[in-house]
Formats: sequence, C-alpha cells, structure tokens
Amino acid sequence: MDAAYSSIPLRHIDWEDSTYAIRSFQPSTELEASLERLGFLTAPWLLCQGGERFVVVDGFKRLQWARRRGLPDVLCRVYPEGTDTGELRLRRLEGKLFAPPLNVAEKAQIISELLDFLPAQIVVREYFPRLGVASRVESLERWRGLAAAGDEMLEAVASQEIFDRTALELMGWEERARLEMLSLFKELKCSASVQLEILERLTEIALGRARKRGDLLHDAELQSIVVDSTLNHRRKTGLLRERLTRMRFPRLRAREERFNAQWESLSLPGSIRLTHPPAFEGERWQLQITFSRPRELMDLLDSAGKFARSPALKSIMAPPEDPGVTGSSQRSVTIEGFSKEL
Amino acid sequence: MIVHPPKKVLIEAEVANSPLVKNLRERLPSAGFEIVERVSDRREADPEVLEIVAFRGRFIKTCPGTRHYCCCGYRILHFGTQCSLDCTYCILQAYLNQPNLRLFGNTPDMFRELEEELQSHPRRLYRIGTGEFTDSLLLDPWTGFSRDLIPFFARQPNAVVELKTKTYSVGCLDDLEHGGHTIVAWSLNAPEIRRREESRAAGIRDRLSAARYCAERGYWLAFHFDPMIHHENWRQGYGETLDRLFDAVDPGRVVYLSLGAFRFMPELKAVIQARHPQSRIPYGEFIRGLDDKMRYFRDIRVELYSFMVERLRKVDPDLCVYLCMEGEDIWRESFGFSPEEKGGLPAMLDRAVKERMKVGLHCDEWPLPSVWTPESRQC
Repeated sequence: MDAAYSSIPLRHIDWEDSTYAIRSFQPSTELEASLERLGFLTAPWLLCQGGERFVVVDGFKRLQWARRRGLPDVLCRVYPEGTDTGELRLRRLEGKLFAPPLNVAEKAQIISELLDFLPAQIVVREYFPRLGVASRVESLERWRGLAAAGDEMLEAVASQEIFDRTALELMGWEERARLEMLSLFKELKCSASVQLEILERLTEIALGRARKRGDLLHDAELQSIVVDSTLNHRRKTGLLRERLTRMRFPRLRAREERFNAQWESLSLPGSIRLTHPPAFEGERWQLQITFSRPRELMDLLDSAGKFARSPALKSIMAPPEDPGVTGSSQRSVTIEGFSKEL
Repeated sequence: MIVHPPKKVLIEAEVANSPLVKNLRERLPSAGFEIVERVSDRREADPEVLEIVAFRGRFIKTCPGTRHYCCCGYRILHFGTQCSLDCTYCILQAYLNQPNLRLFGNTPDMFRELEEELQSHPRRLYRIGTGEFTDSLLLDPWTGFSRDLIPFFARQPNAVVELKTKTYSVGCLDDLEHGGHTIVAWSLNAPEIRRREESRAAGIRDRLSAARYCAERGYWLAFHFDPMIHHENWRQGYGETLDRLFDAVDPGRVVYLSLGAFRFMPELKAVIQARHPQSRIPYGEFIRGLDDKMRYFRDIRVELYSFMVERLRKVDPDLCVYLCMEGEDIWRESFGFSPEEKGGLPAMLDRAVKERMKVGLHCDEWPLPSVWTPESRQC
C-alpha cells in the first residue's frame, strides 16, 4: 500500500465525506493552540477518489483548522485511487491506537469499526488490551452500542460526565431510561462508583419488583428528589442514594432507623455509643465509652450502668414486635422504664 | 419433571468393571460407553454426559457447618457431584470446573470406608445423607445405587441413611429390605417457587405422591423447606405446601423437618444472574452473614420460620422441626428456645431418630466426646 507526500489544495478535499472519521467529542482548543504555534507536525492522510478529489482519512481537526485559517494547501500523505479501503481503515485505527490516549468515545468507535472487518475474538484478544479495555467478549455488543448511542452519550463519556463502566451498563437499558439516567448523572456529577451503585440499585429494585427500570425512576419517591431544583448536586446525590438503599433494603433500613430513633430518645451522653451487630446479624453488641479523665469515666460508667440495668437496653436490642410492618424514621419511639435524666 | 437418561457414559479405566458401571450398562442399553484413562474437568457442561470416576478422597464428610451457626451434626456420604435439575438457586452452579454429572465408580471402596467408620464407633449414632453435592435419587433409575445402599444400612445398628431428592424416582426402593434405617426426604417449596425456580424438578404433587408411596412401604420420611424464598404471597404458598404435605402423609412417619432460608456464597449471585436472568431470587433483601454467606435480613428469616413453626406445631407438636445453619437468637425468636436448652441440635436430631425410628437406642447421648466437626458449634 503505497502513499506519497504531496501538497494538496484544500479546495480539492471533500469536506462532507466522514467515512474515516473517529470523532473525539471533545473541544480541540489545545490542538489548535499547538497548530498556531508550530503548524503541522505530521502530515494528514488523504485518499484520492479520482482526479482531484480527496477524502480525509486522518487529521480532520487539523485540516478543518487549516481551512478556517484560509491556508491554500497542506502537505499530506496521499493514498492513490484504488487503495484497499479495508486495509486503509485498519491502518487508520492502528494509528489512532498508538497515538495519544483515547477517550472512551473514541475507543467505542474504534471497537465498533474493528468489528466490521475482524472476528470478535481477535478484537477482544488483540485490541482490547491495547485499548486498556477489560477483555470480555460479553461487552462487545455494549461497546458497539455505545459507538452508536448518539452524540449526547458520546460527549458525556468523552468528557467523563459518565464513566466507561456506567456507559456500558446503560447500553443494557432501554433508550428512554438511558437518556434520563444520562441527564441525571450530568446533574449529579458523582463518581464512577456512585454512578454504578445507583444503576445497580435501580436495576435490582426493578427486577425484584418485576418492573421496568425507567418506570421505577418515575416513582414519586424518587421523582421528589430528582426534580427538586433547590438541592445542590451533592445533596441530591446523597438523598437519592439513601432513598434507593431504603427501597432496596426496606426491612434493614427500618430496623436501623428504629434503633437510631430509640438511641437518640435516650439522650445518653455523647461519649457513650451503642453499636448494633452489622446488619443485626448475630448477638455481638458493643458499647463504647470515650473519656479523657478518670472522673469523667466514672460518671459515664454510672450512666452506662443505669442504662444496662434499665428495660431500655432490652427494648433497643429486641426485634420489632410486628416484623411484618416496615417502620420509618417518622415513627414515634417510646421506651418505657428509662429516665432521660440519667 | 425433566430428567433424561444419559446418552453418553464416560468411564475412567480404573472403575470400568465396577458394580455401578455394570448396572449402567444393563439399564442404559442405548447409551454410548467410553473408557478413558482419566476424565478431565471441563468448563462447558454437557447435559447428555455422565462421568464415572475413581474417587480418591474420603467418602464420608462432615456437614459443612460453620462455627457461627448451629450445625446439625449430619454426615455426608459423598457419592457424586452435580445435578441436572438446574434449580436457579443451586449452589452447585458455582462448581464450574466440574459441570457434568459425575458419580464415583469405586463403590466397593465407599462401602468399605462406611463399614470401618460405623464399626469404629459402635455407640455413636450416625445420621448420614447422600444429597449434599447431588440429588440422591436423580440417577437411581439407571444406577440402582439405592439397591446397594439401603440394604447396607439396614444391617447397621448405629446408623440411618437419608436420601434427599426433588424427584419422584423411588421405583428402585420398592421391594428392598430397609429395616427401618432409611429416611427418604424431599426438599419442598412454595408452589410458585417450584414453578419459577425448580422448573425441571418434580412438581409438589409428584414429590408428595412419591413420599406417600415410600411411607406405604415402611420407609421413614423427612422434609426440608430449604431454601425458603421470601416472595410475594409466601405465607399463602408455604401454607399451601404444608397443607398438601400433611394431606399426603401421616406426620407420624416424618422423622424431622428442616427449615432454611436461602443463603449463598456471594459469587453465586452473578452466576444466577447470568444463567437464570429471569430469576428474582438475587434481589431479595440479603445481608452478609457471620460466615460471609449472603442471608436474608434476620427479621425476614424469623418471620419465615415463625410462620412455619406455628403451623407445624398445630399439625404435630412432637415433630422435630429444626433450622439449618441459624444462630441461637433466630432459634429463640422462632421457636421460643435455643437448641442449647435441648442438649444441642445434634442431640435433638438423634433423639428424633431414636424415638421415631427406634434406631440407635443403645448409642450414647450428646454431647459425645471429641466427635464430629471440632470447628462446628454444637449448640
């Protein structure tokens, strides 16, 4: 496959043809600054379409910059008419792979293009490691889906408003719900792990209730948070995570809330802390006392002793009387036999 | 029930002439038999293949209890692995390095080991079961294994054997001299769970018909509501199965009945999601237990158990009902007592065997000196 360097008038380039484009979905401000300073460091690639017609294979942004700057011609690496276009695409992809780091949108497009003319196993075995992508055949269709997911999604992954694993997970969602989640994540500005946690919670709640994820998102208990414009992104993320956790683990959360409410109602000194077993599993409870002077310890031990002898401790450790009822933080709590005047 | 006879039997040369293989050759005339030096572990399951291997380890194992929860002190007779019933929740799915049905062909070694163990502790009562790593009766129509196992135990004064199944394959048990030392046990569930999660296993009606068939032939019975699945209308579902159970069999023939809410190694969740995406089981309210397995939140477990215990006490207040791998707090809330107050769970089960089956009356009471699993907590 021979190519020759030649100075090509920009008016001979077919600017509408984007056959070889791999869009970065990111602004090219820094690249343009570099071009202003140093000009072209390597030659863009063109393919001759016959006569004086050329299409761009590599260097779209640079040539567009040249066009805007009004340059008459640019030195290019020109592939002749009749070049094997499949081979040329592969070269273009290889060139991209070993160029500066790719963003997720570019990776998705490259994977999608590679799948057009290479077996899936080869793409996974040979190209995924180069792309820094986990070598899982199952994810191929999701990558292909991401490449075709539309500009909004690709811009979001390129700018890391959503992260690669989030984007791939969303490829398994129906389109409407996917776009809603996309705009929600843009608003929440949360980390990759929190994005995944939110998706997992929504998925598991929906599957457990035999409902669609998109429909679940429209439930009043979630919408009241999602559409609340008075919340900043951190608060909104926190409330949403809390609500989803309660929906996913309603009985555990109810028990925790009941425990917290009971404990607070006792008004014991802040230096005494009662901890229930993790998830209330087992019978190992802990009482922690923090002190700085012997006298303080004696007072705290006195308070702790009164608490231990009162029915309040037994009550706080006991399971709910009616386990079928899901509690809530609004429920009033009264513990008989324990005086707050400890 | 969807159980097909194996079409291909892959046999290790060392056990090519074993009684088990002889039975298979007689009962599977149209299957292909292939002798190989060694059956290798595979990644891909082939549902038409049965592997017969020479087993090198101990055939008798202790119940895999952990120190955090009360264990039953049961012994497992390890005679094979895997199951083709493909229940969505089954832990055997996690054994991906060995996905095919596999039986141990060196059964003479197994009986020798059993005999040595039982004779070495003549005053110890052994409760031994075969249904831990496979279904006890799944392949019995073709192996006829029960026809060797049941008469063997009939001759053991200090042991009973439990065959645990989700099939109705009890034809081989018909005319055997069991001597009242065999318990045939069925895993039961709510009808909706049977339909959704155990679709290849026998229906509840067929399991109970098979149980009645066995009871009519003098066999003792046991039932295991394990795994119990928390689902919508679970009270109605489990209540219905209990009603059908005791319509079908006399509670006086039941030696014991266990309850166990679904618990699983965390890795199993992804396996269920991949292999049974329609299953809703993984989305229950599970927490990480003290043994690092995922379990329903304790209040849910107590609710499941309390419902069952209350219903069972109305049917037969003397029936030995127990919880599989649960803590003393859960026992107290569900039963009003902990196994410790009754001498421990193994003692409760031994007592049930002695009182109902009249087996092992000469055996020692629990706690026995230095027995079973040192790590297991015998409550």
